[in-house]
Amino acid sequence: MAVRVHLSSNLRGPTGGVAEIEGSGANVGALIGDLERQYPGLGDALRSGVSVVIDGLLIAHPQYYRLADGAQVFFVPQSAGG
Amino acid sequence: MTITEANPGYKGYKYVGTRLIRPDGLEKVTGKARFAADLNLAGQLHGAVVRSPHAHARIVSIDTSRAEAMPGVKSVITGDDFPSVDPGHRQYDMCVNIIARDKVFYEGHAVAAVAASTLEQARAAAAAVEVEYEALQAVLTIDEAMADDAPVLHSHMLTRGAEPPAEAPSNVASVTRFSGGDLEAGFAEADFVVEREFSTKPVHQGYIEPHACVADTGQDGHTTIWCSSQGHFNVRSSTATLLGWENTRIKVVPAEIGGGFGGKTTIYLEPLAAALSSQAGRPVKMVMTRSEVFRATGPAPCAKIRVKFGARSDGAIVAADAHLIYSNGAYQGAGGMLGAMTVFESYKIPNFAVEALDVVVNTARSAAYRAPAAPLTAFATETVLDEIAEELGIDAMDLRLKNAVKEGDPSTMGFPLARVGFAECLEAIRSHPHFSAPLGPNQGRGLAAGYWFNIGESSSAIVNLNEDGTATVVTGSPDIGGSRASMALMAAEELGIDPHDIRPVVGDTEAVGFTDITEGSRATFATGRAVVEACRNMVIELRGRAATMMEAEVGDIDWVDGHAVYTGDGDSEGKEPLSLAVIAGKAKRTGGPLTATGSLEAHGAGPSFTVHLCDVEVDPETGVVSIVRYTAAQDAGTAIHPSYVEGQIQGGVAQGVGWALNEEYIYDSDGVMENPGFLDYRVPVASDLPMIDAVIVEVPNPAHPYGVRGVGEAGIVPPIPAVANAIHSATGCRIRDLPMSPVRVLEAITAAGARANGG
Repeated sequence: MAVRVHLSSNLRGPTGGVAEIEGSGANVGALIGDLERQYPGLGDALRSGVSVVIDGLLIAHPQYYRLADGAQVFFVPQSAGG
Repeated sequence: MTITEANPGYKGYKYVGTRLIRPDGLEKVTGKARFAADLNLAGQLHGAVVRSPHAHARIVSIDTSRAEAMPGVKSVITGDDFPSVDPGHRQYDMCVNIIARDKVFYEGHAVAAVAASTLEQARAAAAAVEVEYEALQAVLTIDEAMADDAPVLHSHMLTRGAEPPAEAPSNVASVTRFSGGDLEAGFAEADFVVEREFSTKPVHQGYIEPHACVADTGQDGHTTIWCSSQGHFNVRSSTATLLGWENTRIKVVPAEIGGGFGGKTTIYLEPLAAALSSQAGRPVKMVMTRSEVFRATGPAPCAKIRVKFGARSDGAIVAADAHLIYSNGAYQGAGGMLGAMTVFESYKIPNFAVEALDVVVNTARSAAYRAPAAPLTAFATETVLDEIAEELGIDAMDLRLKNAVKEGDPSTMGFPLARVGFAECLEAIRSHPHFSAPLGPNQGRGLAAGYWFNIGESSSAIVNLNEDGTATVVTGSPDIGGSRASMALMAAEELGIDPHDIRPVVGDTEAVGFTDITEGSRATFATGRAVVEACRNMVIELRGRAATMMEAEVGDIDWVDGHAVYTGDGDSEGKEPLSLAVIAGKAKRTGGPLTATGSLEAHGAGPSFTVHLCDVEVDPETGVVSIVRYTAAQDAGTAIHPSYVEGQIQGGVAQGVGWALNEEYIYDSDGVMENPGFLDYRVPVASDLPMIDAVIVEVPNPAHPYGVRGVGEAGIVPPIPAVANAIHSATGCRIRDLPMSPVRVLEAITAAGARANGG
């Protein structure tokens, strides 16, 4: 599935500051693998302490979350609470 | 007062939204409820902890021989009795915080523990443990920690997020940066620019119940722990990690909890009690004193904050810049990261930049406290917005409405916000009689807003139907703020039976599926969803049983108001509606007991916005600030139990007012806390506060079947700036350092008077 990836500004180091990139994968884990191939180091940055927002849903543990073609995937820092 | 927007699919609720008397209420008001310290087992020993008198020191040696020989002593442990842990381990900080290894990092850091027949014997033996320390220079403040020649606390700690990557250790644990738009162009567009600095002090969560537990290790090595916590599955896994045990060797039974507010999302005593019990072969009870709670359990971080805002003359905020430094105590924390995520999140600001640092110092390891980090960033943002409104001659409410985020606006992290109720909360306050009520002499009024993300995570639930048609609902979430009642109401709505016929139970780690910690205001949202899922699975089963009893197809059976109703086209004779009680009573003959489960990872937690209005009266001679009226509006999504939503709002306000006016950790020059008790650490009491008018706004969260958003945390975010803005309204003084104690307020009034007189 080809998707549009949006990186929060603290995650853009491996892309040289680029905020929006293209990627593909059947699920978020596979997408991260694809992004790592395109931007070495980005996979590590996205595998821990990061959530995604897809279609307005905040997903804390997204590895196996299935992606639809054309989805907008926002990688954001994981939040917590008290 | 409740303002309601209909939940999509809403057809009218019978039980959700009612004010059920809490199922655990009678036991609590009569003193029968059992909190962790109430449990006593036959043959039980008592534990005591040896704590460091130094804020920073190397442990040269520990001699336990004298303690071991003392009367009644059955077990003595030190860090050497636990497996070594690698600094790269995910829970390294927790492990070495619970019991120190080669160094102590704050006064009160545990270095050994003793179990003896009586508490007095245990304390005497703890005092006899001989620890030789090599005292090191303590680092107590953010400035000291970041000084070029500062002693480095952790030799392994490289700054995460540093660009270029850090090569040498420092006291800066992490750097987080967010940005959007063009900051320089944004400020160039501004007609008014203001830059301000703020400072705060550590404060404690102030739960009434001290940390306590009983651990009992049997002959087979299996250990049962009774304790109060915000998540007993976390107690199990964290204890197992520290001890190097398998998770399944431990069962954790949740006691009632006397307050947590984030401070009981981590553990302190349980691994010590389990190790002592394992060594002694007897149950071990450990209860912290209040002094230990203050000195050794997590306060909320403190911070130094600098913010700069640029606004056009029409009130539009066009640029904002923030530099945040959070002090997280002795170990890494997330204060800076969460501060960066919240500082501008309530407003649509096209050009912004945030840099946030987390630093370590020689004070107790910080822990979460309701909406961690957000009250401090709100202090900065909301008071500067007030200043901008004043400068531009715009009403403070109008300024916020003009800039408030709404559905589709980008968050600080870049994603478009789902439906949120910020503007609705602002309007709820504007239409409240409080907003236009006259003020008296020396009184002022402050407005402030706040926000918290809320989270989802994993939850499990079991529904069992009894033969008489009543139900038991078992969940894995401790009942901290009335969750039993909320679970009963949602189950009643789904099953169609009276909530009084439902017994909500908090199950131990062997009685119900894994459930994450109650944090991030997640219990009613996520565990509530698990309960709804379990009930819907139960209804599927009930329809099947009814089909068997009616000799009909299950597809022809609907579930209507607690009854199986035949809706098929065939002969309806003998197919009269069957109540849940009738079906449950015949369960043995239709397939056996009726039980259903629900387990899920809850996506789609909905953020909660809140807006507060505070009136204060300031005594110009003493600087004493009295809260004379307080109104708080908060978006609950849907209030399952309005009384407990109001309670969460009121509790957040009370704690936020304490943070604003009185509370602070006071250390001497050696890093020893000087006010570790409620006599000297001043939390608000009932007589300090007026009735807090809680206004529930309902903008449903589409990711929950009833529209629930978490409500437990956002209420603590606005009180600090609301009080600060009210003090400014009353006195003309802007106070940007916490707490706004009488001394500080009087100094500000005096200085303002001197300036007015040309002094």
